Amino acid sequence: MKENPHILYVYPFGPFYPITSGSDLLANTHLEYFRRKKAKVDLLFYHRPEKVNQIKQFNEMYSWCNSIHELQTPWHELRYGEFLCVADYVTKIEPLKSLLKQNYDLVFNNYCLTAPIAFAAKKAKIKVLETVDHLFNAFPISLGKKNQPTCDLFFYKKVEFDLYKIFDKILFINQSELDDTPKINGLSYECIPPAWPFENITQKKTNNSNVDVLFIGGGNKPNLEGLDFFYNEIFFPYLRNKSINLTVVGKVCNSWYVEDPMVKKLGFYSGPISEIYDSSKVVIIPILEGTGLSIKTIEAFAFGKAIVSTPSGTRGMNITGNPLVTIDMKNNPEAFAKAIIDLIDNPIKRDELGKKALNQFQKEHSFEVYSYRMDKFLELAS
Amino acid sequence: MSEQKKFYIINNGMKDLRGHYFETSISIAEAARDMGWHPILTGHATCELGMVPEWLEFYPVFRTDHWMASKIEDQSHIETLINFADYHQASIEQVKVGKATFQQFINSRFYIRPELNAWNIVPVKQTFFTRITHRIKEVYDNDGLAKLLLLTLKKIFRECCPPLILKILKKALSPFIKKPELIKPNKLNFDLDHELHSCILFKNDLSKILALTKATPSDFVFLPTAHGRELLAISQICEESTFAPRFGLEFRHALDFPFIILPLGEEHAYAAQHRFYFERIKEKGLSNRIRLFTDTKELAEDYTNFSGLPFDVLPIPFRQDFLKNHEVIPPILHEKLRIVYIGDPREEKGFHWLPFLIDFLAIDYLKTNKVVLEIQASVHPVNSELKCINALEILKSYPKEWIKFHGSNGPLNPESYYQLLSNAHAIICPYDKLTYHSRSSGTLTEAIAAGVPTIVPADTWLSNQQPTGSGLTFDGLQDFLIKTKQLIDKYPEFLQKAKLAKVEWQKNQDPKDLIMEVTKESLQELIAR
Repeated sequence: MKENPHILYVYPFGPFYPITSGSDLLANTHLEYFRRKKAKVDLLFYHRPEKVNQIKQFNEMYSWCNSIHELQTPWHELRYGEFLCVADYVTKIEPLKSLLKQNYDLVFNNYCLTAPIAFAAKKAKIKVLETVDHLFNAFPISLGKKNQPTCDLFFYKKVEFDLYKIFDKILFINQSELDDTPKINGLSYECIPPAWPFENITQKKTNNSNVDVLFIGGGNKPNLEGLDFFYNEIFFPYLRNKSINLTVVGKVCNSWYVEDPMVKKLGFYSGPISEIYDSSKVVIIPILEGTGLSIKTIEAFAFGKAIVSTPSGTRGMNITGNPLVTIDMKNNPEAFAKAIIDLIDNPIKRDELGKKALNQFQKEHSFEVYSYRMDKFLELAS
Repeated sequence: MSEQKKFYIINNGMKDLRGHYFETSISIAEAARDMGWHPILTGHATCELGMVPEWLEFYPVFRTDHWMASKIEDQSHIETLINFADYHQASIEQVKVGKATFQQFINSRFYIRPELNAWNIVPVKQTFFTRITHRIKEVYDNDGLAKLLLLTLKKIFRECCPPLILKILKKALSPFIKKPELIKPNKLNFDLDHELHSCILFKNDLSKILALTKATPSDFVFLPTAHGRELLAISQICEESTFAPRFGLEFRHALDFPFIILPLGEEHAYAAQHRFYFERIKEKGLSNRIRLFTDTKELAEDYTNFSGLPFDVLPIPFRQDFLKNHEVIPPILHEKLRIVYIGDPREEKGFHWLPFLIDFLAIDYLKTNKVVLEIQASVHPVNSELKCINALEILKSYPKEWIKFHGSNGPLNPESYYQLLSNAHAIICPYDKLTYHSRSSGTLTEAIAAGVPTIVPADTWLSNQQPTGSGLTFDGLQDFLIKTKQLIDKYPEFLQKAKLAKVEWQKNQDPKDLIMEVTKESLQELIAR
């Protein structure tokens, strides 16, 4: 591909800076990668009304883009078919209609829900889909639609795999989701886990930490259910009586009912997230289910923290170097608690595990590794 | 290698994975699998997963059931809407090569809420030309060429032509104008809108499952408990799509309801619905891709006479694996003779007669510990019939050692059901004679297959099937009580005959025969091919 490629980047749940979710982090990683490639990026995103306060910061962050287009839609209220319907409709009206007529070197879509936009960009040379996660799985888990009839989920799967056929290259962040995807001749598939797109990540000594246990999470259902389970089955019976405190950060606080002097709920934290990590001893990932990749685990790796996680928190990751403690929290809550106590009581062990975590991050999720993998996959000059 | 042919079992009334619907479905699926088909089972949308064997594909998808007694549940979360015919025509491959639009791809797969019309989701832009051509097509399709000509002339000559000439023209063309079809203002004793809405829902759900599983003309779709509304929906699918599979619909319910007293000359809603649907089918003729069945010769005659459509007879499937090697062992030493009532506790099944039986047997048989009555007592405290609820209360008041209750907390699971059946020394079917004059009984089928002596109503399908000497028939309550006593007294004789009859019966009611019969191509189909 030529230098300074002309790229159309599409994101359905914007703006995605400041980061409030794993998919926001992923989008920031993509854009940072394209910035470093000196690409000419036309940025298109669907504006979620609740993120209206972020728009100023977002525009500043992405002022380097060639153009930014935001579409005001009731996107967040739509169901699967309706997502597609609206995405198809907006390709027929201005300003998208003109935008899509351009000779893009690359159209890069996040989530297959935006597939109609890639389809309409007829002159684009390469069309790439970042799946983020399998939506037919995400629907019942993240959106709490567990009672969706099986047939509908099976149907979503069919539609989703059909939509993949519009693209030339398909990206995954979770290896097992890539493995589960039926392969179509002529399409390239690759699993590239996201990186932390920002500088200044170093492991800090945690001797002066005042937070014993830290959990950072968005307001989705798996976070809420997992945190609830952790509090009731682990924190309350095993940790609280040992004067161990818990700090919860992120939008998960908004819908979590617990009021306990030993639990600090900080909510959405607009300051540097490194401050929170630096002040904590152990990071927990207490989720019981999830799709895609657990971005909060990667983030904790990036800050070199000692992590105790459920198997769901490490889904789809290559963790052969044991960079964290993984315990089935649901079936063995006591062991989960013991692992936390052990790390809190033992700073040397904690630092060692933290080093392993940082090493894991550098090996799998550093920006250099990410860039190398993306260069290879997208065939962009490095 | 060619793909395995699929055998669909459409059981839209199946709301849980137990009971008759489930048991027969599994037995049919097993037989289909053993005969080289790929079985696919479907159920009601509220049916939970679990308990379905791993080898069996299962989709709980239907929003309608057989009786449609309650209003259609609001299931707005079901957003998928597929038309079987359109689904393949608007595949993503067709979209990519420009033979279908993206909008068609979406529309053939999803239900888009009407309020989203604010997005003006209309694939074709309406222009003056499209409006005119659409109107022309509409008039031509509905009223014919003559009317189209007349309207065109009217439009052209409205300004310059005298009204008299127009009048003459109208008279000249009138014999050629299609007469609007007069719909008889018959007073229907059922909610037609509700029925037709249910019919459309069924069609959508069936279309969805057929499209998703890529049904082909060589596949077969079987409805073990069909209703007229499903027949109409399936006829429409066959009409619209050239690549529809073949269908077999089995009608298992009688069309008369002797327990329900209606005003003179009034028809029961169930019969009226079927009359309505069968008439609609006859207007266009039964598709050669559809065959109709019942499970008894008597019922087939009733349906043929009622509808004027052809009905064949199928064997009655049951879980042969549970009963194949079963041997009834008569009571030894002080063991009690187990008399079993099994099946749904309903009035038409004579559940409310059981207290009379207890009273009748009390002194000589129950107090003396010769006999115990085992009852499937899955009576719902609210939904069951009042007589059955009361009967259960009375039954509970008897000494505990006289009666053993099963399934008091809900329907029995397959294992408990077959355990109760196979532990029986005798099975009583105190069924209503009129209701069951042509209807089949799964309980009797299984009892004969297990080699258990039975008591059944006289002059019914049950009495016709009961092997000679393997049990007794009764006429009325008093006779039922006396015959039960006789059966107990001469039990060994009846048991011997029942054991002899069992092997032959199992052979005749093999679910594989059902698959063979139902999938057999009719003469019409062979000619059509």
